[in-house]
Formats: sequence, structure tokens, C-alpha cells
Amino acid sequence: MSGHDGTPSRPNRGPTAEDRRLLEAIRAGDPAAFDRFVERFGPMIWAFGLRMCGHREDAEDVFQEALVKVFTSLRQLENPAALRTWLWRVVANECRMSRRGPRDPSRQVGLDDLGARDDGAPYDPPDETAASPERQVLDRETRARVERAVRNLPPDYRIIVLLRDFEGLTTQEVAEVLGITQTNAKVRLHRARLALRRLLEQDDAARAGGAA
Amino acid sequence: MDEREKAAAFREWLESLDEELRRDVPHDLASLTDEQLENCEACKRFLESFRRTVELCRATPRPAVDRESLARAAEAAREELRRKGLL
Repeated sequence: MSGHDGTPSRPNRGPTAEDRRLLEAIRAGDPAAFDRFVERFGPMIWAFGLRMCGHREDAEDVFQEALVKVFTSLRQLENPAALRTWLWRVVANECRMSRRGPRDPSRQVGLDDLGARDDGAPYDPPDETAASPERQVLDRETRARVERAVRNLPPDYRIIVLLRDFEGLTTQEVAEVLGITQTNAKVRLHRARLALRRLLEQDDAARAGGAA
Repeated sequence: MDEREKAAAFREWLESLDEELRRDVPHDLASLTDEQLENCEACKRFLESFRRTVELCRATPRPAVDRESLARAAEAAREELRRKGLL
């Protein structure tokens, strides 16, 4: 299954035939492989960076650095089946690196801007078809609530919820990506979901209070 | 244990477990949980709210992509890789 732009929407489902061909092309030094990789994985990585960091500039940096790492090291990846887990590990590490320095809150992308650019020109539409079969079209307000709550999670919780519940990796894959045991991944995930649930409830209460 | 204490105990127990971890719960304990759940409105509300949170995450699409930003990052990476002789 893929999103409307061809981006793999469930990166945990093992490598597709296209992934394998792309990996072979990268290993063979095919000059077209770079653009193919950007087209195939770019939106996924960029969007993850935006959610994880909350800043457009960081999403751009994460994507740039991930690309460099991929084309520096991917040739050494022996098992094509591990491509997606490997890729997520690279992206997760870049996200961790990008949050080292202090950030200017004014650079943080507004939640209302997730669907429209500053200059008024449209972004690509949100990936409505991505991820699970039960994925449904949520109204803009609900999306904003969820994104706001995720943004308010501590980074260690945010990354695990994003990988597991938004991007659809299995718990085992999440553990591999984050370099922790599966048991630790489950415990951290559960705490992250509870924290997210509380944030959503607080958001509801605040909105109800504001409306009263 | 009255109904309120039962609900609190259940809630505490549930909060300590991941849904995936619950598969490893001994059958008698799982049965007890179902029984408590059957009679505990607060437990049901909590569980529903917890499930709804995970469903919302799964149903929220990826943010829209800024194609200009994407292209800028790709071009910068391409330049760096060329400088390193990797592209």
C-alpha cells in the first residue's frame, strides 16, 4: 500500500520489489537512483522530521543528513529485508541530533500550517490514504488536536508513538530502530500512549473551558 | 472491595500494561479483568478512551509535504555527496 504520492505508507511491511530494485541501483552507482530515492522516501522522511522536531528547517536538515548517510552507507547493507528498519534508524538518529540545540519558538510550524504554506501556496495534501486499512479521514480540528498532543509529548515518548502508531512499525522494529529491548519498547510505548491520552483529555478540557 | 476500589485497582493494573503485554496475562487474571470490566463503567470509559487514542494516531495522515523544502534538502545532499565523490 502506498500514499497518493507513491510514498511507502507502511514502511514496516518489508521491502517491496521496488525497494529491492532501488537498493540494487544505489549499490550499482546508478545516477538516477538518487532522484528515485528522494521521490520514494522523501515525503515520508520529511514529514516524520516535521512531526518529530516541529520545525520546517529541522525537517529539511533531517532529510538532508539522512540522504547523505543513506548514500554513504547503504551500499554496505547486506540484507535488503532490513532496508526499512535501517532507514528508520538513520532518520531517528538524525531527529535526535537535530534537537540538541535551543530552538526559536517562532520557527515552529503552526499546526494550522500543516495543510498550507506561509505563502498561501498549497502543500501536497496530507496523505489521506497512508497507513492502516482503518485509516479514516479526520476533520482538520481533530488532526490539529492529535498533532498538538504529540508535539507536547517528551521527545522519547514522541518518537516511539510516531514510529509505532503513526508509521506502523511493529514493536520489534521499533525496538531495533531505537536500539532498546522489545520489553523496554513495549513499556515505553505504553507510557507514551497514556501520556498522549492525558494530553488529549487536557486539550479537550481546555477547549471546553474556553468555550464556556 | 467496593465498586469504586475495584475500578481504581483495575485502572491501576491496566495502566501498568500495554495491550500487547496483556496477551501474556494468565488466563484467570484475564478473566477477572473481563469480569471487572463488565461491571465497571469507569474501567470501560478508560479503556475506550485509551483505544480511541491509539486509533486517532493511526487515523491521522502524514502532514503535508513542503516540496520546495524537500527539493532544497535533496539538492544540498546531492552537492555534499558529489564533493565526497559518492555520487
